[in-house]
Amino acid sequence: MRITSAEKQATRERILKAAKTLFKGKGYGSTTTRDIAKEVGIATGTMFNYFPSKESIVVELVHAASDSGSLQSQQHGEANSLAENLFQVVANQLRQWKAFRTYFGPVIEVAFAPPDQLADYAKPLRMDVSEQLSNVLASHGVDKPSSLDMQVLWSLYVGVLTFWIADKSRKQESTLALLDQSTQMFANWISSK
Amino acid sequence: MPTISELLAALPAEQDRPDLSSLPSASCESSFQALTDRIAHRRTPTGMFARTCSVTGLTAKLALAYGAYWIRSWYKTGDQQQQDLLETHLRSALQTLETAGYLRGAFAKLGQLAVCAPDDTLPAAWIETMSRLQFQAPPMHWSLIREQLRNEFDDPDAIFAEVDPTPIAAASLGQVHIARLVSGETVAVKIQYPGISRAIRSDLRALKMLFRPFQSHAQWQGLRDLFDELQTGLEAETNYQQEASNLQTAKDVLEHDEQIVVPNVFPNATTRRVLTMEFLQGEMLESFLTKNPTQETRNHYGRLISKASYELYRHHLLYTDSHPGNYIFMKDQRLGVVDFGNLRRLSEREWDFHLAVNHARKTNDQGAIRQLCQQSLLMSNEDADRHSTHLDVVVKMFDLLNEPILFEGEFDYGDPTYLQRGGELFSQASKSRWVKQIPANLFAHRMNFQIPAVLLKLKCRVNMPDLIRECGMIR
Ligand SMILES: Nc1ncnc2c1ncn2[C@@H]1O[C@H](COP(=O)(O)OP(=O)(O)O)[C@@H](O)[C@H]1O
Ligand SMILES: [Mg+2]
Repeated sequence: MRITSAEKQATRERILKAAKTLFKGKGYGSTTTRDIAKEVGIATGTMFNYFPSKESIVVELVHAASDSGSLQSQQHGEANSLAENLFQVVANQLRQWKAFRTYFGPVIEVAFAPPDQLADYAKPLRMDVSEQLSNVLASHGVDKPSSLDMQVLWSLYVGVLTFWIADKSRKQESTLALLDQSTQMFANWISSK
Repeated sequence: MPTISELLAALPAEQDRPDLSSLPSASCESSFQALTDRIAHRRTPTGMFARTCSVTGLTAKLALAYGAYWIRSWYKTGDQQQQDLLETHLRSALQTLETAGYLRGAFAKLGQLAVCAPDDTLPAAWIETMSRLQFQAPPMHWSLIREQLRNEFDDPDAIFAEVDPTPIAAASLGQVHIARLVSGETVAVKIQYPGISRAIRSDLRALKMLFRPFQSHAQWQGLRDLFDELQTGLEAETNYQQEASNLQTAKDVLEHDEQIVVPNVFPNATTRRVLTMEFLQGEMLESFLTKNPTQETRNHYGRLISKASYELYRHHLLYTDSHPGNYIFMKDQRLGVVDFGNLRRLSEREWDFHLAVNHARKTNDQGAIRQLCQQSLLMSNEDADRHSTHLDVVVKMFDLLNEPILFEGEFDYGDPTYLQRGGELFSQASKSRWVKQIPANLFAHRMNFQIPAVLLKLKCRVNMPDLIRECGMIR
């Protein structure tokens, strides 16, 4: 029996949906790939044809949630400073990724690794994020950031995300403050050159 | 509040961090990976300890050197050389502090504490600088404001039809924007900088730790009570829901006078971090004065300002935020009063004490006045003998505060010598070694000197006995 691509797509979606529910209910840590397969009603082996690992499922969930994020961040034209535009893009992402916050650690590990260590499944998300950040820089005349510039930006970016995961403040408001200070810091860094 | 330095503190120590400048650019990403690996596996410090570190990290040597000196000089006075050294340290410590955003607030309050500091070697400059430091949240750009509103309300668009992106005023913990509600009203929205209340809490804990060396001192308890009082006050101020309820309390008291306006609160547009009130249109003191108001108009407003705080006082409430920015000179000679974050209700016991003070004043019973001042300083008779100069100063301060109330006729608040005399007494009091006093004093002092300061700017004359008779005596 041949499986059509439409069927394949439908199974993918069912896996994602089941995983999201299980992660939310049982927690990411105690959900196994077998649990997910069982919930969808497929063999664990079959599931690996769709997703090579639990991490790849989260990355896919995060990426799916950020699609509208890239659309929304188009509005950043209305903001005027580099710091503010960067803030806006990242704040948007955080809002979109809120449901995954407590198990975002694996996403950072796989999607923000060096390019040569990136798994294939993480590339679309990584490229989207890079593109969003680069677009902001470009819109402020920073077309060719040096690798040090990018390193500073990525350090701050990942720093904010890492902080966010463990942020116990009310509605993660401390992360907003950290993001504000980090983007100001980066803007100062760029303009001081 | 996490700061970059805290985050950086979570990174590996300087020496085991790869030297970025010497790396060929291709490997930048992987050295970065090493960094992020480490952050991911280290708990990001956000708690008290980290905060204390960031305080002491910046100023550790200076603060400690100062502390050590302070403790030593508690028992003997240092020589000139030491004194100079200390002041040098202090200056640089203060410069560092001045750039250390969040700490400023706590240190401003510390400045008020220092006014009753235990050490006569405490340089006057220290007190002065400290009490001038102001708590100031960083400015927020529009995107941060919007994000904060989204954080606070499920659907801000269902509440606010429009928010003006340009703030009308800075608030100590955030900023104020004009907005229009979906229901049509024009409102003033005070929005707090995210996470600032947490930052204040940890600043205070850090400050408290810096105070530890005094624990063994006989007057520690008094110092700690004052400290706790400050802490409670500050924490109340960071909760805008509390301020909303204070506004309602003040409104209930002042409502019967149609010339005094306290803004309405919109509870469903208010949270701990966002306070939405009726926008009071009018002028600030400075711009009001540029129009050269007549003496009569000045007196009118001076009277309303005095009346507002007297009415509240009559209802056992201390309005401790008598700052020029908090009065709005409105159309039809009305006075708007905002900012009730610090409204403090006197306890039964405190009120009884105030009644006794009032009675002593009315009967001009000098013996009783001195006795009550002694009580407010928590002095035993023996203490009062040993620290009689300090007690003298406090009695003089009391008399000074009562001059306008006892003066039959219009008291001229425009005469600058009145406050100058207050300032001199303050600086004398600050040289005393006596720390203890009842905590409510701190607020009463603030109120008592802040209002004359506003009235001096206004250059008004007010007949206080008349006003008091009109409002009703205190019973
Ligand atoms: N309801 C209001 N209508 C008009 N202006 C206001 C109103 N509330 C506050 N403001 C302005 O904003 C300033 C800051 O608000 P305030 O409540 O005093 O903040 P904070 O005490 O937190 O520093 C005030 O001094 C006043 O100028
Ligand atoms: Mg104010």
